[in-house]
Amino acid sequence: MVWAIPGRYSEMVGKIILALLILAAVAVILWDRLRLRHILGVLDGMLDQAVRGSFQEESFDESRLSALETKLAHYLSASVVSAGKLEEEKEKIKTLIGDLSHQIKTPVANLLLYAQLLGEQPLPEESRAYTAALESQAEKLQSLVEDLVKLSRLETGILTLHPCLAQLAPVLEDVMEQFSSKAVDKKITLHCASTEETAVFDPKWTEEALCNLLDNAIKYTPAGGRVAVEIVPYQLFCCVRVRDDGPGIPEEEQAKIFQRFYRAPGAHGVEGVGIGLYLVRQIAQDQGGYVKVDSQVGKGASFSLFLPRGQ
Amino acid sequence: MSILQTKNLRKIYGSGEAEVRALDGVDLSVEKGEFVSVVGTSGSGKSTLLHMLGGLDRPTSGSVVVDGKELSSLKDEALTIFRRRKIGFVFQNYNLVPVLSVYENIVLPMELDGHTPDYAYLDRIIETLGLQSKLGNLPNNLSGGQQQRVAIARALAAKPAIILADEPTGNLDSKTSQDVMGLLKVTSQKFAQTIVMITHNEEIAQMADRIIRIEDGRIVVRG
Amino acid sequence: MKVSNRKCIRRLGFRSMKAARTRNVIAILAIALTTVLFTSLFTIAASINYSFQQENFRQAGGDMHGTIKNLTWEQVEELRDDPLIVESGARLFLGMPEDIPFHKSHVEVSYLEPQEAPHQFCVPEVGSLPAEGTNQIATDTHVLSLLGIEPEIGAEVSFSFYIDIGTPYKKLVTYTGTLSGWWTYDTAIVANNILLPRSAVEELAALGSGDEMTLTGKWNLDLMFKNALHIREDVVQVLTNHGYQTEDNSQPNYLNIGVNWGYSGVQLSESFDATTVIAIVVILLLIIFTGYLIIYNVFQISVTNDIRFYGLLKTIGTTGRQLKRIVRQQALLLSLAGIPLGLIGGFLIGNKLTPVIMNQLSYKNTFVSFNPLIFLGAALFALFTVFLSCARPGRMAAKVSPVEAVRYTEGSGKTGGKKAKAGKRSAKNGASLPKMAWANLGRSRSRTVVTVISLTLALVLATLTYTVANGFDMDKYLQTKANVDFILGDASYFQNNNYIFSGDTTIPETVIDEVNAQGGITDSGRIYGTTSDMEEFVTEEWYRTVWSKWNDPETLDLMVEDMERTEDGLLADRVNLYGMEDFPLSLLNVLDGDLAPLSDPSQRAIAAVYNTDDYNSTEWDSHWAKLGDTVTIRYVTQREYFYRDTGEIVEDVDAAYEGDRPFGSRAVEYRDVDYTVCAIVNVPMSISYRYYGADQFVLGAEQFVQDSGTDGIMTYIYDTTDESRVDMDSFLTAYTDSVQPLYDYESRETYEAEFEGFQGMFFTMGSALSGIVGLVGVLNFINAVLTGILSRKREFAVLQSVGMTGKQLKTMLVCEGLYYTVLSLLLCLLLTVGVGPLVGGAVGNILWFFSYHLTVTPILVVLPLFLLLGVLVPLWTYRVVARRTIVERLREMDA
Repeated sequence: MVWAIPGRYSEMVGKIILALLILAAVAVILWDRLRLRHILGVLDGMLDQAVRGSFQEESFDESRLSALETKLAHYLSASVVSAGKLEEEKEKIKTLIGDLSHQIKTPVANLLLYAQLLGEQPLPEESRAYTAALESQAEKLQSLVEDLVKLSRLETGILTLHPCLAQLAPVLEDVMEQFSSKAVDKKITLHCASTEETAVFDPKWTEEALCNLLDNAIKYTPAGGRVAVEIVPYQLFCCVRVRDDGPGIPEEEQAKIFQRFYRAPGAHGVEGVGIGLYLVRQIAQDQGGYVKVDSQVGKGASFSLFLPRGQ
Repeated sequence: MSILQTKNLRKIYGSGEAEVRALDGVDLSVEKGEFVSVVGTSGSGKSTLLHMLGGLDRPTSGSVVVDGKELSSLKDEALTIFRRRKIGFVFQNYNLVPVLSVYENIVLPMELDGHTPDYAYLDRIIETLGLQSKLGNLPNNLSGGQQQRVAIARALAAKPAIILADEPTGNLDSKTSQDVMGLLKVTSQKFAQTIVMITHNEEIAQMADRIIRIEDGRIVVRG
Repeated sequence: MKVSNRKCIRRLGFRSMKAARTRNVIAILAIALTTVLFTSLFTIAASINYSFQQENFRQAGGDMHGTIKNLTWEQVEELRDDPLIVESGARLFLGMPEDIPFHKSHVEVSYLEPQEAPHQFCVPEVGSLPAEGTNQIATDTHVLSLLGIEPEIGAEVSFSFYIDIGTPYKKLVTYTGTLSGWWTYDTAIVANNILLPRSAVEELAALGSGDEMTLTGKWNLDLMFKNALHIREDVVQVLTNHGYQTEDNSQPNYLNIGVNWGYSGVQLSESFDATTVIAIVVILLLIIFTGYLIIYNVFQISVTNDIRFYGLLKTIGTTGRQLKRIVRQQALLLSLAGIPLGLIGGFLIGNKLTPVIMNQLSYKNTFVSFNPLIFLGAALFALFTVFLSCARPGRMAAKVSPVEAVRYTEGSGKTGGKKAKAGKRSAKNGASLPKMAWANLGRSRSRTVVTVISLTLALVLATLTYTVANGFDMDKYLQTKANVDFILGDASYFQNNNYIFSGDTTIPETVIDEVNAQGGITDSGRIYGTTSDMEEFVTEEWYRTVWSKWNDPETLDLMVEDMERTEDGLLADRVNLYGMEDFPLSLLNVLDGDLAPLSDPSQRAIAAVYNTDDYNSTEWDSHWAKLGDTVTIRYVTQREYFYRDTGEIVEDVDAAYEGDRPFGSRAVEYRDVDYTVCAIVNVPMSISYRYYGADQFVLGAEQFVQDSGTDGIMTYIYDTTDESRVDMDSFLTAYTDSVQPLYDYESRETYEAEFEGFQGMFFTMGSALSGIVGLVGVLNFINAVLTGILSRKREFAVLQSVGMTGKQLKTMLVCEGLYYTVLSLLLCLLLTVGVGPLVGGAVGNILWFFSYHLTVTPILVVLPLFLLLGVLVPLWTYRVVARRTIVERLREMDA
């Protein structure tokens, strides 16, 4: 077992080992540089794609680069692109609101004013009926414009909801008061259960939404029918349900009625512009709730406004 | 912009006489932010469809494109990682990891991917789903509805391109079902989250923006 | 660069591991038991190696790495400061006694530095080393008994010895002192020491001549280096550092050095021959297999039960590789708990077993090794086994299909056609409980198979142990022993290593007289052996056949060249003669011819000794002489040596041995006697020379003494009456222990004890091995039953809800348990009957004293135990499950 290595030989071995070590170090550095260049190249490509708006994740593996791709995709979809589009859209709507308010609102108001002035004039009985119709149509047009303006402000975040924990009862009482006379006019039984429930909601806008629902219900319910408002508590949501005896909504339309300006084919005989339910949905959504409809043709419909109960 | 698209999707089990066409040419397109429900009776192929969409199983023919990526082009390992990043699942039986706390369950997909969660976003999810007080609990100590809420939170947390929900209320009573569905609906609205839910329950399906009916492996009505 | 998700995987692994408490306990136990097996194996092997090394040190006279010889005190002080030296001790040599009573012992008188004493095994057990400035003395019990002095502190010791040995001034001196301490003589140590104080040694050394050649008054410096890898180089380096060298002894700076051969690697590896290595490898594989069976089963079952968990993880984006890591990490954590436990347990067991084995090997001292490599090795092997075992379960977890896992229950799918058929059949016949139980076993076939194999392995090992130990055949063992009650001889005769009979190892008539004086001897006789120079004449061809067994071709050519030849070309070769009295002659195994002529010197008869193999059959080519041949024996009285190159006669033979010139020898004064071969015989091993080499012949005792002119008695053998045998035995024990420690004896009882000892060792080892393997098997079984029942809790609840009574359920479970154990028993029986004879034959080839008998005793013994296990384990587990109501159990699964 002789382990000693003669001097000259060991010196040579030492030199070879040293040379190998240096070689290895150089190789590692070169490899590292190549990798770095590759990674930078990939990143560069990713950014180019992002600028063009055509970024697409390439690989799915455990590498950091792949995770980075996903992150960039998230970022792009969440902020840059959508933010840009949103801004654009907001701008358009703002213009629209301006247009509406300035270009339509004033003429409509004038229209109404002159219709009223005309009504105060002594007119023949025949003409008086036309004037009344003119006035009521002008009123409708005005409320429609108001609705549209509200909606736009809501959608674009110019107006925001302020949901807070509150009793539902006062809101319901307000709404019932508003519609009781209308119901009596139409010979419709309007019923509302009393409740102690609370929820998190913006009272003003929720009232608006409920009014829309109730208005619809009364509109579609024939004389002698019945409209009921009930409260159904769940663990997480509180549901305000407006049930009518109307013609009901066919299933294929149920998803569509909440769309903007959608009017059910069977609803042509009834007045309205098809924006009410959309507004309701928008109001529900903006305070963390939602709205749904249950209906069968010929058996009436029930619209449920779900309001979060809060924790 | 369509986030999910299938083209002529087929899945055939067995062969010869025992051949079962679970999916027979399904063309489907889901827009970003849409909440779509797929309704069908049991055996209609809806579960198979969900498995295909989620990359849990591979189709016999046809293609599935999620967020611009053709799933059949991914190998198993890549597909798993794709799922981790792009797809959130909500199952009938919740499928939470029993040994991890609620919070750990929620952040699991992100931790598997090695990145820190977006805490602000996470807080919003947790608040929306009403889980603030349950974060330290183990799943087995929660009610079914609570467990499903955790599952929804988990599915949402990684900001997936799409959430696939398989009979999410199948194990819940009707009241709790309404709650869970409400949350699903609200999250879909609030976080502009694309959701595809399969169910046999018409009423539950009504919650979606769009209902797709499937029978004998084919889509029958486009609503 | 990877994303950093290890922490998350670690947490998942750790949490899910914590959830499986029963599995953990069983896995830890399994890993611990596997480690126990590895550790004990390594401890035993390392201890044997270590003991071998220690014995070498004793024979080499110390355990220091190297020595620088013949120094002055100044040189000692100069050299010992060298930084290479870790430890050093010096010894001042004085002289050696040679006269009676020391004529047969190697005794050295010297001074030892106190720190050197332990390295030369001279640590007084009683008293102390000699104190400076006194006339004290310390030595071993052997020297004391030679001097006839009772070991007692303060006893007066007086002895004479020579100084200046090897010089013309060799001189006898006497020393008288008082005994300050002694230690027990260790027969493994070649040299005995008498230690004196330094001053006394220096004083006596001053009486010497101071001759250049003398060792008297010279110091030896023993050195210890950092390690034993290159002792010679280290010693040379020390010399170089101080301007000395050991190449050229004509230079003044020459110093002689020595390297302890006990350290050389060749020596160490010698203790492990091919058979041992194969045995160790086989046992290693067996342990790995045993460990694999249980650890694999534990993990396989646990992964199967958790398959939904893994499927779920995969669904939400855990890759196969990560799942594998989870399984591996759990295995690692469990190993962390199990392996240390096993190391401790294994070391304790190894410690207990080592002496049992060492008793059977011819080592005199047992040293248990604490080498950390044992633990490192055992831990690594255990870890290897664990990782090997959890590889497949890990793959299974990794491969799980997310869709299947979401609805996976045990035994669904995968098993395919065969199962369906079984289902159909039982559907037709209705489900009886035993049939349901059988079907349940079939649901996870791999678990059933592994569990049954694990149980069977233990049973087979136990059966094998019993069969082999039981098959040790005393009659066969004694066949090679002479049929005689007592054999008395020199102590070295009975120790197998390095014994060569010579004039120094004879027994004197006085000893025989003392034995005879005990009475009760019925038959007796002396066997004389060759102590003088004898030659026979053989052909070159025969010479080459005989000696090629022990020498390589080059050496053999040299040997043949050196041989002296007769005119007819025969070579004179060494020969070993026996001279036997009638009683030993009667014990010989006569193959041909007649022994009677041997007793009559006038007939000049001789018997040729043929060797036998281990199985006592004659090797017919082991001797050249045939019946009726004439054998010439040359009794040499004087021999001369000559240099081969010049033919010059060698004057100083010792010097010639040292030198390089080839030299030969030839008989100059001799007597040739011709004998006729009257018989061909075997000499039983126990009364033979006990070594091979030169051809052997037997002469009658009278003829031997007459022709050779020598009467060196090798052994005295005798029978006694049955009554006096015990007395004789105890007499000889006492006699050879204290009165005449140079002699020793063997008796029929010795052989029987030897046999039983070997049998006992085998039995102990086998029992320990099959015991632990059995524990592993039972653990495996418990785990299989336990998890089988726990994972079917819901199923049982369903069965009970549709009307199966608790009693019926229990019957079914007991059936399952019994199937496992009965299957194992049957499999073992099958192996025992089917493969047993083959194995028996193989063992018979290795152990010559083994006869195979078919036995099922171990199976019968284990049978009730296994049946009990099969009944109790399921019942006990069921009780735990049944504590909760059906509804609770049904609900638990839903939650």
